[in-house]
Amino acid sequence: MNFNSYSLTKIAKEDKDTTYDLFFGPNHPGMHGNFGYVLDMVGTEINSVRPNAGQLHRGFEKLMEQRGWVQNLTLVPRICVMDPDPNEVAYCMSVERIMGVEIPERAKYLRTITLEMSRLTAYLLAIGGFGGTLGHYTPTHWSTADRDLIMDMFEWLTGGRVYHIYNIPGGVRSDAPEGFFDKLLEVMDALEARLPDYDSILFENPIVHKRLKGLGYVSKEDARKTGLSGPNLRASGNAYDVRKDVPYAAYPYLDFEIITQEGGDALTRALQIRLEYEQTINLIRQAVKKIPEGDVRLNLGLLGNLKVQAGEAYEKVESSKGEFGYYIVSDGGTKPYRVSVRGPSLPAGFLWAQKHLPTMKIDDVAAWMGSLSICPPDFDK
Amino acid sequence: MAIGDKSISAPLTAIKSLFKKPVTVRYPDEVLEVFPEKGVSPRFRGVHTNDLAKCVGCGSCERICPVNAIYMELPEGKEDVKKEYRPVIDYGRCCFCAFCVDVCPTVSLKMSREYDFTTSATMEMRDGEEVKFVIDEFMFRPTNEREDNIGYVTGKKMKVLG
Repeated sequence: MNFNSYSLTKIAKEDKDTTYDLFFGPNHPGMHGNFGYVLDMVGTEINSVRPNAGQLHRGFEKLMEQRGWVQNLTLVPRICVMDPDPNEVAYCMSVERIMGVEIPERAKYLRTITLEMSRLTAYLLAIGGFGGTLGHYTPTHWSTADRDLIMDMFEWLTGGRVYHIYNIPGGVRSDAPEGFFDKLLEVMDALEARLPDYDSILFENPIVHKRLKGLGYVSKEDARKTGLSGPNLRASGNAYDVRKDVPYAAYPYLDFEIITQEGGDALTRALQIRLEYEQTINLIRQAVKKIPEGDVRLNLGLLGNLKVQAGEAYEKVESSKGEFGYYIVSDGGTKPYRVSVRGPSLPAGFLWAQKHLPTMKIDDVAAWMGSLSICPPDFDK
Repeated sequence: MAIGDKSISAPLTAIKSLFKKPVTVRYPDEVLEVFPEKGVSPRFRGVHTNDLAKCVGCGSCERICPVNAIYMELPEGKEDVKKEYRPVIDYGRCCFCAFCVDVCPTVSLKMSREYDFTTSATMEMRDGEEVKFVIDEFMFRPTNEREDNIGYVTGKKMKVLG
């Protein structure tokens, strides 16, 4: 068989009506995990799409029923690799709600700081993703290097770079080391100083504007109806943010406004990430300034034999992708009876894929996936 | 603030990066800007270290381990009583969460800052023979040989047991 005669360029030029199946993924750099789409193509245009899920399924929810309350904390961050802390915090908040305990103030601030640092790493990865999926690799290399600065901070605070396992029912595992906050503020200054560079090569780049404008439009009504959340929802003009509407951790004490934009296309979502990135740096500065002295953890007895009284709770946090929620049922034992995870990516990854992709050309699929920041592990868990 | 599209030459400002030092360094070297000592943070969760004289063989670490990586085994030439058992860790399973360090009642189990953890696997394939990987090197009993490079430790104040 002569493969040259089947190349995409040739199909585009000559065989405009050729129909074929294109496997977009499961290993694609535009997608953070083993998840892909099977595209029914006519020439270079997409006719229909089948989400190809299941290759990332590890049975998280069932595994959690077989491990202790605290042991599960090594499992939950793996549900979202780029932004692991919202999982830890949501899980811990649910357990604390069932136990009916209130964590110390300093622990709340430390949680907020780790959450926002985690958000920064995820946004930097998203900025790199925008560059990479458009074939513009400079921001990808830059953001990887900048992300490493925050990873170093995480290494100092928690001991781990990617999976921090820092939050625990009752607070956080250890207090911040000496000199940590000063260094963190320095890193924030360095990251803020980098923003004009990102603006000039990516967010103000006319080519990027041309490629992303009008791509994957989601109207204000539809975004709300289909359950989009996070930056995707706010880029469509809906002012909803869990941090503001159902405040948790130290967010009630911090001063910030919900950033919304009208537009609803991929370009607006890119700019939304850019604007929220700045807001996140500001939130970290505020939290470091206001952090009180005191304990960082409640004494809940023996860690390994922690028992949680019978009950159920649902707690949600705002991650960089949207609303992460943990519904936990306890029967009073040393293990959860049932844990159910609400991930933010389902509406984008399944529903909007089937609405948007059939109107697109093959070149725009990766950029579309990057713009909705789909994180497959949270629906294929 | 407004972010609009600008002139087509705006991305050319990236050229100034050509005159900066590279961010990455070659492998055995380390970036020492953030952590001057070996480039690793003082609280790093690396390979374990265990003070065998302090360890009382209680088995708390074995019970808390979420991935069942810790086995309590009797060292050679010791009397078969519970307090003589010492943990053996399978690093093929270990997820470096440091819960074992958190629950250790005598603070004997700690984590070092060593992360360089590679080993060579011998693979022989003669006629009809099976491929063999030597995997024992990933499973050993931590001792205090890495005591001079301590990383994650849980202080007495944060203790949950004892």
